[in-house]
Amino acid sequence: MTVSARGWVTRMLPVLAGMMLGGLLMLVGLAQAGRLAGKDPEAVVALAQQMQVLHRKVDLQLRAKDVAGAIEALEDARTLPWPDRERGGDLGMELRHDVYGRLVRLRLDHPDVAPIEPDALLALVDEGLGPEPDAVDPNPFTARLMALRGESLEGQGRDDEALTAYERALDINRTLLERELGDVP
Amino acid sequence: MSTGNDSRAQPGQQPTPGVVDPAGGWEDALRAGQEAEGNAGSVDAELAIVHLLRHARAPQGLADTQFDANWASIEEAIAAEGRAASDATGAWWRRPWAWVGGTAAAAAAAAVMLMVVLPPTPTPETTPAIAQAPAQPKTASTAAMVERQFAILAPKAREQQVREADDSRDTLRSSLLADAIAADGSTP
Repeated sequence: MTVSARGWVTRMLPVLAGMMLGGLLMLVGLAQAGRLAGKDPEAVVALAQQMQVLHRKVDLQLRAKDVAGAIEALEDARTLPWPDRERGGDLGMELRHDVYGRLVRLRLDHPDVAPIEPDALLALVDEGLGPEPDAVDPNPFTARLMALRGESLEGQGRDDEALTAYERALDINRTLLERELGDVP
Repeated sequence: MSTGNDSRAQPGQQPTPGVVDPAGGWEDALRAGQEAEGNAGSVDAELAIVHLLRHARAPQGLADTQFDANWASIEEAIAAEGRAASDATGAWWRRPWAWVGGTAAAAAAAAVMLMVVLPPTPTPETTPAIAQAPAQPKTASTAAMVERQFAILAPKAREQQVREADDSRDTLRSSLLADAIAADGSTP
């Protein structure tokens, strides 16, 4: 290698290193595209632990056929200080949609246990979905809660709105399936 | 019928010309006799036989013009008979209405095939109607379908949640450690 060639490589080395670093960052960005990380990791960790305990408790209650106790435990979770999406990120919203979805499912399957009015049930679903459910990165918990909103609307005879909710749920699951197949980053 | 033409020659007389001799004047005599009897009866049949015999004795050729004229009349008669037979027996492919009707039928069949083979393109006007029509029967099955999809997708999503929670825990731990180190460093 001549002296001039070595000089050219020396000059270009920072450029090549920058290109490699840029490509690496691009791949990481694509992998995390659309997924919002919470700004408050402490709140996310605490919430995840609380939800883990709550789900275990509800599992045990349902195994003991204590539907009323399970519904009561999940209803209590409504009073938790749920972080918003900016603070808790998409993970916080998923945890919230998961708990509300389980509660609404139980209420729909057991309408005679601690019954509530159809409007109250729909309000419960909307409370769980939050202000911007479509902004949350696609996940099965949001899709399920959206479909449960469709069931609640259907129970009120609002079939057109129910159909719209079902289609949104199916769209989310379709995106998840495409991700599994590698068509969508 | 007596024609008055006896061809048997009497002794001492000049032989009378034969019937088939065109110069014999027999035809004139025959016509004269007919007139004498008041034009009673017909001699046409006898004359036709005589003409035939005369022609057999001395065949007479036809002039070309006469020959062509005869054939023209024969061809005309044959063509007229052919048209009549065609109309009677029903050669349908020669009839104009068959071609017109057949063409129209083929065009209609092609149009139907196009409609069947080509998928209909939804228009902006028809799309909402299509989306709204099956609303009632679709909802119940869709709810069940989403529940089935949830049962399949949820386990993996929960694993993802655990990993993200662990990441957040690591971040929190690092942050707390950094704060503790900083606090230690600042401690006199």
